[in-house]
Amino acid sequence: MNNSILDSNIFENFFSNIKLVEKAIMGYQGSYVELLTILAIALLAVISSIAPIKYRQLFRFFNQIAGIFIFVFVVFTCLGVFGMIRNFHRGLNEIGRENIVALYYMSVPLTVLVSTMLFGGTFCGWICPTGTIQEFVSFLTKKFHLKRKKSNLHSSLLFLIGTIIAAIIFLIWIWYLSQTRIFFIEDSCIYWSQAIIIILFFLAISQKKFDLKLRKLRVISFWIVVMASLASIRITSPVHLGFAKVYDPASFNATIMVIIASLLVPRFWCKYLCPWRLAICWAADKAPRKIIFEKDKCNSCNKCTDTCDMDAIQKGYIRNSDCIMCMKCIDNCPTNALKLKDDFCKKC
Amino acid sequence: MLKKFLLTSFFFFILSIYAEDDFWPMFRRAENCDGSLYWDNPNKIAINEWHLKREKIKNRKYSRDIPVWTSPALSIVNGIPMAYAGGCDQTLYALNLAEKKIAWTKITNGNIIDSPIVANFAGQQLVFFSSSDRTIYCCEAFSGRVFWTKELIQPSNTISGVEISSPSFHQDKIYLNCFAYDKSLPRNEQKAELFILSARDGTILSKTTVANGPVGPPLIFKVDKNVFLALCAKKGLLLCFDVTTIPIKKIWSYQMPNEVIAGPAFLSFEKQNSIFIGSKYGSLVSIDAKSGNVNWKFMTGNWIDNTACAGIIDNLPIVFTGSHDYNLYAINALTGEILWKRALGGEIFSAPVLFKIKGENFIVAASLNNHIYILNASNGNIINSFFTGNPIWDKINKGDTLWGSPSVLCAGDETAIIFGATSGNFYVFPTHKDCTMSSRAKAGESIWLSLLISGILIFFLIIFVLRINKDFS
Repeated sequence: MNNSILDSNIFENFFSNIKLVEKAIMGYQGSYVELLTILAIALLAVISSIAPIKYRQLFRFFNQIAGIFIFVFVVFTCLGVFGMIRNFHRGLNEIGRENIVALYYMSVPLTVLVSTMLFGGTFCGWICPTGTIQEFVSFLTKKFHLKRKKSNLHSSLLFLIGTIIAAIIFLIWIWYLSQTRIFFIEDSCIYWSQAIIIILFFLAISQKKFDLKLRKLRVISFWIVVMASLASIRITSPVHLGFAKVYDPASFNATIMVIIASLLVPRFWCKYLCPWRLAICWAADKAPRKIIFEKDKCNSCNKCTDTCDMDAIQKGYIRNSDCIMCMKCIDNCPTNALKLKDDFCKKC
Repeated sequence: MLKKFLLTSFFFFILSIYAEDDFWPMFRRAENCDGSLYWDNPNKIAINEWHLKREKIKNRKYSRDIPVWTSPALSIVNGIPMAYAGGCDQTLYALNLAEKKIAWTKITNGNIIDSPIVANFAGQQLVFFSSSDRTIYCCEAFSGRVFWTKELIQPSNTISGVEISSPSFHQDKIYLNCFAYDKSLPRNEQKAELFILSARDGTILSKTTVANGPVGPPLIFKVDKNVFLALCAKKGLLLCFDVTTIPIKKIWSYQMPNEVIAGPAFLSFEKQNSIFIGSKYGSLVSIDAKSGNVNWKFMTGNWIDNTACAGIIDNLPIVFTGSHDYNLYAINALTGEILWKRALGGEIFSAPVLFKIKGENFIVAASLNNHIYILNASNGNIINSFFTGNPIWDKINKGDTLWGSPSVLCAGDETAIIFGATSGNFYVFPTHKDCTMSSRAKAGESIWLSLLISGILIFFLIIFVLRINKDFS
């Protein structure tokens, strides 16, 4: 009998037994309704409002770390952005049948949506672990991104080389996985990995020309996940493995592709493929909290444009569909032309 | 006269041995828990694909604490292949696998959460099964006629949460564990009891308090001339009793590092008699059956919540176990060295099934991605897989309940996997014939084809998105 070298995988051991607890903490009525998770996410969302202005970005940094901790070590449901949509649908199905089960599935996505309706899209900028990982990773190539922005996102040989390396890594990895395991419909996040590679090639041709148009792919990503959910197909999302108790090779592959893409384009996943972004945009549109631009105070220094990872702001004008309420633009504006405005009283 | 008598006795003795092989006298059939029954099928009875779809039970709330189907017990009754399995609808089903019909059913007053057994007693083929209505039942295997029932726990206002394990049959006696949660007692006084009943009429021959909390199915095995019984409490206390005579004697005990949901398996090889058991700690432990000393421990990546199975392949003793780390392991039963491991599509919750066809050994396991896999037992290569449908409820309670495992009826080319799935359906998958439950699995090589197709689709989707924006600009 052979113990093939292909059978061994150090990552399997790394990702096993990752949860701190055997069950969701503070279950409700003997179920797995994750009261502590809900409270934690709500608290993290509130912190974006109460963080002192002077240390806002520091608070945001620690908030993001806490978000990763909560999702990796505590959360049992909604393990990734696909899970948010899928479980929301699952919970809807259970209403009237098993209400506690409905609550179990819907509690986390509902908490996120409600907090977004109150505080704007802060989930993406302050809590989401997928976004956090991308942000931390893209910090390594911050100078590269800034240089490309200043050159108006023109084609770059370095970008093309990075894309080719990403494609090679993806293909080799898929070859390795195809030798050692069977793939299932549930592993379809490898197609999202593939989409990342293809989008990178388009951006390598001309990011300036294709950037905004390609963001519409998030809508398609959303509807694919919704359709899969309606068909009871469970597609695991990138970073799912970090939340689940087991090693999920397809999800791991997608996670690494997201990380590599973030080295080339900050918040790549959030910009082009995140299906949950659509729901966040819808909820944020209802929020009483907005960033307003006082044009008369602006000195056209373009610092807001340079600091925005989502490229959601151009000379003070904000594209709400892309704004993740990280407030870096506000904190970096030298003339306070950008301000956070809360209209809670007006909304009430 | 004496010659005739001896010849007749010898004939019946041989018959009884043969007959014994047609039965399922304990959980997972034998002490090595291989979960497979061999039948030479002299009349070449066809066993075809069958999906037994249960009618939806209106207003039924499926509790997460009970399996939808228990592991089926198989038997050849009057030359007919039969399967017996209980369901969460409080009913025991006797299924005729040849004619694909329900032979008979027996409704109880409680959930049937553990597997039935089939044994030969006094010339009769009998089914023994337990229910959470505190009762053990004895029915005729062919007709379902009830011979006797025995209420093990008296009803009381303070009694709730009764769990009676799958019974074991040996030499005219039935062995089973019973736990009833008594609300009037503190937690540390909630005891489980090992019952020994007479197979003739259910008379209680012995009742022994064994552990605190629920206990898994008992395992009967023989070492030298003595008969032993091993059982494990959910809290992890593994016990071994000498049941050669009554009263039984406790031989040794061993505390597992974490909760144990299932039961032990036993294998004897070259004078080494070992018990294998896994726990929620993730380790598989091999213990010497006579002394209770640990031979070795093997650590997996996640829970082991079902019974292992052991066998001898190419003169090598191997124990197979599935873990919630997605892997099925083959481990050298003597040394604890890993021989191979294979990642399946989901967490493996079932006990593996070991069977042999035409000299080749195979392993079957079910995982939480709603698939059953057949693997080559020698190298772990996946040969085939079947999709068993989506669960009737999404929140599967992992690790608190012993979910049903498949069983295999080995009848040459009519070999079939019999499995009650969490989709609510009961399946018979023939291994050597076409099966409509074609797995959603894609072969490793075909992933390239799917990537090519999806790549083209994604490319055109992007072009479409770009053009749409262009048209509206």
